[in-house]
Amino acid sequence: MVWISPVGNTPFSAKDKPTILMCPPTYFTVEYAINPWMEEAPPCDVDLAKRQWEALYLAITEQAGADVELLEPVKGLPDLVFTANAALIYDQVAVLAHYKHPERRDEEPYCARWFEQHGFQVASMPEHIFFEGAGDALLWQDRVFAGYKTRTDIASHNLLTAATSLPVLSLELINPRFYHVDVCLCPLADGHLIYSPDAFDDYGRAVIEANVPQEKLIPVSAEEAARFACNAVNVHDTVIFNQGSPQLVSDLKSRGFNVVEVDLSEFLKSGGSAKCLTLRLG
Amino acid sequence: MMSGIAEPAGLSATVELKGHLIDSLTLSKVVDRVQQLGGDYQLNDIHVGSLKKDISSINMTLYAQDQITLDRLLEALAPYGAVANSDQEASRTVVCEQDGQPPAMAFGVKLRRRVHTAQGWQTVENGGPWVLSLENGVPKVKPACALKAGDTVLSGTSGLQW
Repeated sequence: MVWISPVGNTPFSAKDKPTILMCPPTYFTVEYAINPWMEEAPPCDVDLAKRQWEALYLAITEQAGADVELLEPVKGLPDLVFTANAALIYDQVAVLAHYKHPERRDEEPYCARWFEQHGFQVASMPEHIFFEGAGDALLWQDRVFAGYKTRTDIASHNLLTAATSLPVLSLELINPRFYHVDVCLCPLADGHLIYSPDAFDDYGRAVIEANVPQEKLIPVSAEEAARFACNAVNVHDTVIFNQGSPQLVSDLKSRGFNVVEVDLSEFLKSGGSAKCLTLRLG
Repeated sequence: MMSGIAEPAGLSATVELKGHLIDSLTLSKVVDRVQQLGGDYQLNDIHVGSLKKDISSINMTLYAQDQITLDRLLEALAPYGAVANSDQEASRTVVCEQDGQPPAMAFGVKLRRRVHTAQGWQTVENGGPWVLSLENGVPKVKPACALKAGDTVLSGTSGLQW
């Protein structure tokens, strides 16, 4: 673990409203294939993608009531729009991603500079250990649920503990379509947790069930998980995710959540959805 | 502690694991995998973190009947963080004129890529044998058929991580 910068002076965690980092999809498209969704993707409608991103932005700011910080898009970095992967944020610490695929590695120094300039204490992984930010590490109460094997190396989990002092529960991802843990598991307010049981092996399911009370667990069907139902943004009692998952909508409403469905079809072609397009800063 | 599944064979490798091995059930998974793959193991040392945030560490020796099984064990356990505990440099073998093919201990590496061409996505795969060679101190992967007498290849399991 390499610590790059000292603590700055913009504590997002001290703000009244949650702050979420997003990156406009100015240069978003499917240029390469680094997951099964991209391999099968029909051509991306970039204008539609922009409208869908704006709808998500409005849902987050106006319906959920969060602030949004914008990361300037960069030509040639089409996946920069998926800010969730840039880092794991805990308090004022940003544990930076080190991407498995070379196609995304040019994002690393750009995002590192952004976090430094915005007052985060920045930590990075050694060259030989891959870690894909909040795509593969999700805070849940006093611990982290972290995925590994497809993109992130399990060795990174020890470095997460070193950086955050939080215990990390390592979950093997067994389905290449659920290549990050944030496409198959989502912690929610009040200790609830959405997850797709099919994305984990028996050990992973046992870990989840041992840590989350049964009444707080919300299993998602394979069919709805494939529509990225688990890739949700949660702000207070509002949960935002891609449209087309009626069972999850019903389950969440019955537990008192406000649900906002947004059409994010163009981003699904790239293997991402609502949560992938956001990074909670504080 | 031996698993009791098989008698320890002549080939072994010692690995270390660190992490939240108990709470994440990683240790259970690792010993199950060893047995599924026909190997055996001995836990040499276990340190369990006393606080929730403390990581645990385990030193274990893997046993296998042959080199292929041992390689398979090391490859299968690497994603769970089992790294060879070795301060030693990798073992070297110089290819002799009469070998004609990689030495018995040569290291097979499978290369698989999907390639996007005008015909769409295609999978190409080469099951090897590939070997790890050492050229002027720099490790490289090369096809076994390209080896020539005097080349240095790496062998065994010490000094390598999967």
